[in-house]
Amino acid sequence: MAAATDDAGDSNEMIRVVSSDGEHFEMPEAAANLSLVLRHMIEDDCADAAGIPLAVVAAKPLAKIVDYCTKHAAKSSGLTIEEAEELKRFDAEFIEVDTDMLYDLLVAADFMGVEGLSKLAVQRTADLIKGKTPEQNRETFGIVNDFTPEEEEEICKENEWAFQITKPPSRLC
Amino acid sequence: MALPVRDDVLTDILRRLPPWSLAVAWCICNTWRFLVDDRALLRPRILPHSVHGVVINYIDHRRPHLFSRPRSSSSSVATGGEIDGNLSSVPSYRMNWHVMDHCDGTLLCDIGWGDRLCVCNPATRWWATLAWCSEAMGFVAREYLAFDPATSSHYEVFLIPALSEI
Repeated sequence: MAAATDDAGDSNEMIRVVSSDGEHFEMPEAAANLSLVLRHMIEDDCADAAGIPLAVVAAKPLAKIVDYCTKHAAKSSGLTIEEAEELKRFDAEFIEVDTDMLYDLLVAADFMGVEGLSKLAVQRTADLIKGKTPEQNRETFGIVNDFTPEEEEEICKENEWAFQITKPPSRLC
Repeated sequence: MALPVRDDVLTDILRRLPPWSLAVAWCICNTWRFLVDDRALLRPRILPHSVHGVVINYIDHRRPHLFSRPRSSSSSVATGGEIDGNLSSVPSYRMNWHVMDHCDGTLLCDIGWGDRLCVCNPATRWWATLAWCSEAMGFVAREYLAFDPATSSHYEVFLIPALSEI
């Protein structure tokens, strides 16, 4: 009976966060709560006017994360089918980013403990890997081929199929 | 350098890859290769968790059949069509034949009751015939097929001698 007032953390308070390069951002408390790290800070009363410092998250990815959390917090419960579809479309557009931003989002979402965004970025990265040869993947992700010439030869010989752009057998997809 | 993320995050990414892409990821760099091996990511994907097909040998019919579940449209497009349940790609030379062993989608067939051995992949319609050698070696043995695309694209046929139990 008395639980109604502080139920669901539904306050309108704005939470301030500060990026590693000193930019300030604001988001509703419900949005900040989507980040495990921010939620713990808020629960521990560390959210003050100066803002919560996020030492490893630069302004560019942080702006995206604030967007993501604000959008998702506004539509967190009791979604209609249309709203769920809209949120899906938002996610799909949201994650259409270059690999630099994708890296930043992967690292930042992992650091801040934003589960939904982590999953989204992880899935996007996996989708980028699919259907490419090893060399194409190295190019996409800027990965240096660190095999010794002997290892390389062995791998190429054993996995010739992987280096050609062929369609995989359906049972492996 | 690989992706600038923690190993757990990279593992999570690799875990979402279909087996084919995961095997490609194994060829990219040492970090990825190590993770795929260390977390044994390929093995549970390659080993079947569900039945994709049943091969039936008959005692009163000259050839086996393969009952295979229709694949989803996207994956059947990838191989250019459904798997042929009549296994018509197997060169049976109008002789009786049956499936002796199978391993990871590849079949080992006995054609003509000992006339010749055939290894085939019903999905790709690839096949190869092998010479029998158990009789030539002077002992009773049975042929078995080993194939693990996670380790190699090559298959092996083993001859295991039949020993008496006592």
